[in-house]
This record gives sequence, C-alpha cells and structure tokens, in this order.
Amino acid sequence: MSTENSANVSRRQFITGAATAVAGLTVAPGVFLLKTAGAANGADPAKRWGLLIDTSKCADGCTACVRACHEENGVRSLGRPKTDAQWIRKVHLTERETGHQHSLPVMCQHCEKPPCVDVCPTKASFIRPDGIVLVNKHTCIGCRYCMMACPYKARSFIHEPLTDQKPHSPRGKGTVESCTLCVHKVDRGEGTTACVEACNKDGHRAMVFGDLNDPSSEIAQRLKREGSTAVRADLRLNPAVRYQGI
Amino acid sequence: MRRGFAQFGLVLPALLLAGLALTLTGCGKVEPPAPHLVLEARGDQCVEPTDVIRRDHMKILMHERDEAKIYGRRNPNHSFVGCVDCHVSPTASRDDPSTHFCMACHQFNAVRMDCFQCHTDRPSDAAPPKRSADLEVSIERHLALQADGIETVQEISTP
Ligand code: SF4
Ligand code: SF4
Repeated sequence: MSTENSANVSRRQFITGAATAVAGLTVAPGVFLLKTAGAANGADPAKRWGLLIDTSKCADGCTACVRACHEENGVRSLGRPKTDAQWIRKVHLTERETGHQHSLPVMCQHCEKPPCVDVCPTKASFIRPDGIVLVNKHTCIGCRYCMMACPYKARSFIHEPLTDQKPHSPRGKGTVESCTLCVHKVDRGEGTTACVEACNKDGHRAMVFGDLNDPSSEIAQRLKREGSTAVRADLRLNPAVRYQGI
Repeated sequence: MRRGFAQFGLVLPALLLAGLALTLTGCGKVEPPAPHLVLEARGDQCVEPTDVIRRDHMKILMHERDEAKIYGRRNPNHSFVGCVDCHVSPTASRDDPSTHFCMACHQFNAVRMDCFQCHTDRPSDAAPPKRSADLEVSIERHLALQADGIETVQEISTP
C-alpha cells in the first residue's frame, strides 16, 4: 500500500500555494468566515470570454476540436449515439443555390441573454460574471427545460451512470451539461481552450479564444476589423461565439 | 384549537432540544477510517485540524462549492479535488467502500453522499483506467456514426 504514496504535489506545497488565495477563519465550530483576497481569484465581471471561428479555415472532415474537447472533459460515447453527450459537433452547410459547402464547429454559444438560464426552475443554469454559461449540477434537477430552450441544441442530458470522470470536469447521471468554455483552464489562467489548442496544433488556426471586452485582445481586434456573424442573430441573444465566413 | 396550539408550542422546543442532543451525541461517534486508508493520505497534515475537518468537512465543502462554481472563487485549501488527491488511494474505487477513504467512513456512519456520482472517485494522478485505446475507439465510433448521418445535426438557419 505504501508504494502508492507517490504524490506529485506535496501537501505542504498544496497548502502554501493556497494560502494567498482565500483566508478562511473558523469562528465557532461549523461557522466559517471566508475572505477572498483580491480580484485575481474568481470570475472577473469586467471580462467576457468568447470564441471567434473562421469557417474558411475550418477543414471539412477535420474533427480535431471535437476529439480534443471530449477528451479534455472526459466525454465519451456509451455506444448509444442518440443519447450520447455532445459538447461540440461539426456541422456541414451547403448553400442550395451555389452548392458552396463549408464546415464549422458548433458548441454552447455562451449567450449574453441565455434562454437556458431564463427557463431553469432551480437557477442551476446560470451565467458567470465573466459571461461563461454553465450548469450547476449540484442544483440541476434534470428537467431538461434548458435543452428545449437552447436554440443551438447545445446541451446534452446524461441518461446513464458514468465512471472515470476527469477531476476538473464532474459529470453525472440526471443532469444536463454543455460546453464550459474550458472554465477550468480559464480559472487556471491558461487563456485557451482544448478545441482552440487542437485546431492550432493541426495548423488550421480557425479558432481564437479571448476576452471580447478587452480592446487590445486579438479576438476583439479581429471582430472590430473584420466583423463576424452571430448564428441566429435574429434571436438577439448576443452569443460570445462568433463566426466568420457563414 | 387554541389549546392544541399551546401544547404544540411546548412540544416543538422539546423536540428541537432532543434533536440537538441526538445530533451532538452523533458527532462524537465518528469512527476514524481504517489505518491502511489513513496511511495512504499523501501529506503530512490536513488543511484543518482533524477534529474540525472530521466534524465540519461537509459544511466547508457545501459552503464553498457555490462560491467556486458560480463565481469561480476557488479555494485550493478547501477544494473537493484537493481532498480526493490527498486522501484517496489511486487504486480506490467508489464501488468498494473499504478501499476508499471517504466512502469507508460514510458507509460506517450510514451517511449517504452522492459526491462521487459526478466527481471522480480517484486522485488526479491516478492513471485513468480507460485511456487511449478504449477512448480512441469510442470516439471514432461516435464520430463515424455522426458522419454516417445516424446522429443528425441541427440545421443552422442564418438570419
Ligand atoms: S447556446 Fe444554448 S446552452 Fe449556451 S448559453 Fe445559449 S441558450 Fe444556453
Ligand atoms: S435540466 Fe437542470 S439546468 Fe436545465 S433547466 Fe432543468 S434544472 Fe435547469
């Protein structure tokens, strides 16, 4: 048993690393005062994270982003494609008149006015201060209202017990889930997502992740310079995922 | 009617007191986990004194999970993943409570918790049991079915 005592982070490191983040104070047994130090910890309301996807660079038949997302978050097929979770999918479009075809990834669009949040009876579907739309699985009752409300069909319901989840991506039966914009990476300050990394690695460079509110960020500058399309812009949900070339 | 209420008014505090007394007695009865499970904890000291963490870990986790989930204010000292990383053996399984630091104690005390229905039951550095080969095959199958049109994708109408 003692052979299993190999930890790559020692408890001491673990504690000292944490000491600066939040000061916790036990007032009395069972009563805690927690003080968050600085704005560095927590979703920054001044930011709005988003993606820009250039469909002219997105290769037909390439599924690097889908693969990377599902691997990153431990999403795997249970052999029943009708109910398997899909956080991101490739959609192929053909223009009827000209026959022009293109292919693009579609995931949760992280709407500024998300209908999934409006309909949720338990407020489990919520928008973080930095614009990332998530499901709080602690309070999700699995009613699937949000799945019906989402115009992008972005959400999946988990029908079966799961095993082998990723530590940063808890998932379980009876709850709804969708793209988290790799919130664990955002909170670690990595400034990228699994899909963007995979797309860059394959040399397509079709996706950019960044802060839409920061005028100096690549995404904001490209949006300003080149313009973009919001899918179903008529719904006025102001999605944080924008497309070019559709 | 009025009399009924008066009686109820007396009974209620009595019940509450009895409940409190029972809870307090219950608190003292937490059996420490089996020695081999404690040995597996890979650190020299817990993030809180043992009596505090033993009695109040659920309150700490419950209180801070909303902070972490909703506002992204994560406290590495009180993170669920942190507990599991430090305490749970890489070979433990939620299906066999005797191998699992958390589940063993919970089973002994007959306190059902569903954390591990969603959260992984193993530390981050445990070799994920279903890596590469299996995962690749299942992803391939998933994508193939999607490509064959068995799984339909939604049409996007542009405005
Ligand atoms: S795309 Fe769907 S799931 Fe995502 S925020 Fe918008 S309505 Fe909600
Ligand atoms: S399924 Fe969950 S997140 Fe969606 S509306 Fe119902 S409770 Fe809210």
